[in-house]
Amino acid sequence: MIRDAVLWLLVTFDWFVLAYFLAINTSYLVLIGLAIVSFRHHMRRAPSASLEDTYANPLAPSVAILMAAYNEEAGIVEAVRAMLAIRYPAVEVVVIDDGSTDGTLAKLEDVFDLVAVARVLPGRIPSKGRVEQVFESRVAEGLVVVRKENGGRADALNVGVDIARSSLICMVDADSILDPDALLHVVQPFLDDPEKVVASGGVVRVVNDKTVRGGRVVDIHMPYTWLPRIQVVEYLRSFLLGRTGWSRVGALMIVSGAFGLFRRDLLVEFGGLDVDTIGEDAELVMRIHHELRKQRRPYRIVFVSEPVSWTEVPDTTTVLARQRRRWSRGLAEVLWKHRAMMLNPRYGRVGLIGMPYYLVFELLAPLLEVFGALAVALGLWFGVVNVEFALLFAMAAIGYAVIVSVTALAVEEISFHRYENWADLRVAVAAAFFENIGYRQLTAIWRLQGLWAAVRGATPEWGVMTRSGFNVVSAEVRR
Amino acid sequence: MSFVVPAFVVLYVVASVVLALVMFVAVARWVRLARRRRTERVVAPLRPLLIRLAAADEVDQEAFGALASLPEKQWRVIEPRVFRLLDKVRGLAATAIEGLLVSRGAVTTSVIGARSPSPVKRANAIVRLAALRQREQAGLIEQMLRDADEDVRRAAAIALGKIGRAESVRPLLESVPARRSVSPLVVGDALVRIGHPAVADLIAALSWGCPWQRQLAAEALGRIGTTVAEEALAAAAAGDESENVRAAAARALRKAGTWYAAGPLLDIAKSDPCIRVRCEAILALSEHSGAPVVEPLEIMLGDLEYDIASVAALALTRMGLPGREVLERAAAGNDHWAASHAMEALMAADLDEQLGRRALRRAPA
Repeated sequence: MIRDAVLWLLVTFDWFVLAYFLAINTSYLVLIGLAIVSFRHHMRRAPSASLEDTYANPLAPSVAILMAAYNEEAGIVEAVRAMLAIRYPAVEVVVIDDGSTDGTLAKLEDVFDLVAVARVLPGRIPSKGRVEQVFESRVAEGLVVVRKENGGRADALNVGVDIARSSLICMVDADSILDPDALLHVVQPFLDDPEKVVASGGVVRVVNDKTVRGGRVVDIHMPYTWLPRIQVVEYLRSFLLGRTGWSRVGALMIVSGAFGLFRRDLLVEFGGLDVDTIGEDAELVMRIHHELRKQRRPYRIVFVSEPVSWTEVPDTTTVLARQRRRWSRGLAEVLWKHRAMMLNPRYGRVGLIGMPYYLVFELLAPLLEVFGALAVALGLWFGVVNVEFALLFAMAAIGYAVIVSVTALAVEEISFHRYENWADLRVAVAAAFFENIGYRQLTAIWRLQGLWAAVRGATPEWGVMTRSGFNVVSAEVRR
Repeated sequence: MSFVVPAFVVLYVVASVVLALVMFVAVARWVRLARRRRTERVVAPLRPLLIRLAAADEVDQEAFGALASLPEKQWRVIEPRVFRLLDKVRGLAATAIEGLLVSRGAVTTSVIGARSPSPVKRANAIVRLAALRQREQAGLIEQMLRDADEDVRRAAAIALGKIGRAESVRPLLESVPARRSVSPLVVGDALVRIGHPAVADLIAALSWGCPWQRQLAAEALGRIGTTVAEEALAAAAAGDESENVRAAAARALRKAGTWYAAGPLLDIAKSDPCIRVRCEAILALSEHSGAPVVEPLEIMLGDLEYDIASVAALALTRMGLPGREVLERAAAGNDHWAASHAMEALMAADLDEQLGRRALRRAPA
């Protein structure tokens, strides 16, 4: 009797997981469909919307690029050069050295000829780590370097927000390389709708193994190893198409820390980034949604698909595992912290669509992926499901996911087509397969570990990213 | 467990869909690359002619003639490049390229395009009419400010700025609060581009009903930098109900003000309820007023509001020797807050002088 009940439960669970996989992959396809509508608009607009008009607009808002750096001596100089090479009429670059123990500051001092200056901090956003010194560059106008005690990325960025003197704040990772016109693109929503747009995010792509010259990515090709290659496809599907789709719906919940633009007055008003949350970027966006909806203030958060921030992705499973555990835990914390918004009509599409989606199809996905696969295996073992069911399950979980990934490649090909070589195309298609066989299951386990860490409130695992670096062709700093 | 659709059928369907998608990607790439090669084949031999036309001191008749007599099929391929080139050149070269485009019927096709049902074609046509500086078509473009498509409206506003006709000021400003509105920042840019011919209408707009219109008028007057508007701007800075308008008007007085504005600006700097307006007034004061306002700025250096103290210090660095003396005195004084701001400003000014930097430092946003 009990055995029958258990087996019935097993079969029911198997069918449930099968339906879940169909639903999750269909939801990806829907997001891709929404992204296509946005891309069409973007492409259509491109010929008549010259960036030169934005560049020449005297009313374009000033932008401060904030880079929080902790032990980034390997890539900091090139990253700062890239930021100084950005084409934008009014830009300041603020690097916050968060108590690095390596030669990050020494390298900056050496290359950019830094000189200590007296600077009174407004102190509008409290910070954990004391600011020790502020420097300005003698050779690069607009570059400010802040040396502070270690307090974490969010704390460093808060100091940057406090010290910056621009209307908009652009947060980038210290290892990010922005396309030269990236700011002109990502500022566009603020120009188009200055009253409502409070934040915008740009797309993040993978820089591994590419050549960077004078702070610019000069040869775009697929990475040489499979782990980053798979992440190229993953970033394409999730970051480019997924977030474009969410932006279209009006429920964009994540603006990547590697490239996001925010109104400074709002950051000051809301007290900056939360230093106690792992996913501080997502938490900030959620807090903006939460507060502005609560106060019934009209606003928009927009994702822009064209500007690119190039970032280095993990190329070892150890680093990748750490990253995915952190992301999963961060998402859990954010959803928990803002649980009052969940299914609450007051919070519009974010509360009614975005949050439930992220809970069911992002946070809980690894749970169902791991236990679903186990349940089907058990079902086969006990003979309550047959091989035909197992095949159907594999098609729903893996086959359908491959369709989604290759669809993402197709959309990239007809829209931005950044990877021009035929060899890159072959690698990308292969990566779309491998992503769903092995890689996805591994990341599901790591995400599950992150979720478990969040549930039991374990000590946070801070993200130390071991960098291989990209190929840098050195150039003299522009004097 | 049995299924209506056997699993292997699903497997075949999935495999077929994946294969079809991969084929689609490959074909799309092949078509794109083939199209690019075909275009390059047409453009490559014509590129030297374009360079000759753009680089010559006088009109290169041979290049002009060769391009003007190109077969229609080749011209269609090269025309977008000619327009892009027109954006990059000035003077005689621009006149020659404009002449070439007009001789190839670009105006007529653009006017037709502006009436197309496709918003893409309408927007592109407007961009082309603006590139050709077609003042005669300004009326048509002004109508496009009310177009159903927002990209067309935006293109029309930018085009009117480039054409630079004074009569466009009113329709541009009216497009801001309209149901089918144009971004105020795009309109502001267009108004600045129109420049001095726009001044009279902009002064009148300082008393219009919509705050955005008044703010844009003030911003544009400031960027144009005409002292004719000084009195109206001073009145707006002192008395407008919107703090955005007051701030814009005070900012405008940096360039559009004279000593006349010092009195009203000082009052605003001391007593406006909005910090941002006070900051703008302080910075404007530093541009025109000289020694008489040094003393009030010295007092503001000790203001507990960070922005006021910081901006007062910045303003003092711009006021020459009297300002520097005040800062040095404050830096050595007992008021720690004022001394910190004074030291910051002095160090920054010294650094700028050392490096020969002439651009003004940024005040807190």
